[in-house]
Amino acid sequence: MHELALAQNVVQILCEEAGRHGLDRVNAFKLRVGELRAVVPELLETCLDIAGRGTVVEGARVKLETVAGEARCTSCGERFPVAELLFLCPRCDSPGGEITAGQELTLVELEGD
Amino acid sequence: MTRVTVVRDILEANDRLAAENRRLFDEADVRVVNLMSAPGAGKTTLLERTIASLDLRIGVVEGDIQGSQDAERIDAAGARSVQINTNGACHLDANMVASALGELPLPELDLLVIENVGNLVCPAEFKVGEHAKAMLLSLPEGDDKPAKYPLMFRESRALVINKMDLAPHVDADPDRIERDARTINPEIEVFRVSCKTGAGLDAWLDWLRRLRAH
Repeated sequence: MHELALAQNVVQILCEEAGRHGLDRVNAFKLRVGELRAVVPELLETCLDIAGRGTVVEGARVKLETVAGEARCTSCGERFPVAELLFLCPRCDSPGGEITAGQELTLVELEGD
Repeated sequence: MTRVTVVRDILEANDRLAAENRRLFDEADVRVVNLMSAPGAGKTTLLERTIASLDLRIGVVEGDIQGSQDAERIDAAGARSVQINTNGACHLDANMVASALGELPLPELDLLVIENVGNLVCPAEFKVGEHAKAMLLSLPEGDDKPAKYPLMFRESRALVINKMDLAPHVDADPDRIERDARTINPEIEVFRVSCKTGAGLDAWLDWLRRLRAH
């Protein structure tokens, strides 16, 4: 259950950005979440709702953009999709590929007044 | 209405505080290990053994949801400790660790172990300023754990498989644990130990000495 801690961090960043851009309230924001980060989207949304109460983020719509996992084999260079962190290169069977996508946890956009 | 495009990592505030902790550790010349495991795997017992056998000045930050039983055990073993109660949070973060550091004489320590909250998931997500993460898995937890909780195995530089004395009594296969852990993280160092009998602990102690020396 790391979603609440993540949500608190998101709200803190949103409050900073709102202050920086002179916004009294945040109406909507977009998060990019990698599928390898073990984030449960419904749970994150609930936690964002809780963490945002009493702040400029309260009631804001959240849009989650998920990013599929991808790795690059450090032995043969093959790029391939991964759904979990336990994987072998499908071409040469080597372990320990470098994750190139799917670990994102990023705020990418917000809208407010 | 204003639309703002940003690219900000959600964990950046934690990462910044972790970097600040790391600076304090480096200034004090103390090496720091973030020790993680599920509840009951034997983190505190491993530390008691380590404190008794390692010729280094050791401090411990004890992270628990509540209670101070572990810190009392560490004090009794002869190391300096400070207890953090997270009051519900399932992991330590950089800010919690920062708030505890004032209670430890960092320059008088060679090694600081941050004993994280017992949990195989969340502690792996949050840096606290450590030089290395190490994890403990006890054999009775089962040999499917690397496949089920891969992030902690990927993040850790050392894996201690504890309770090897129970191997005849449980179905878990330590070879499978080691194989899967190395598939997730080929660099991981694996130590098979029994904190009850002391078997295998020398290699773990050597790893800590090497970490201290570098």
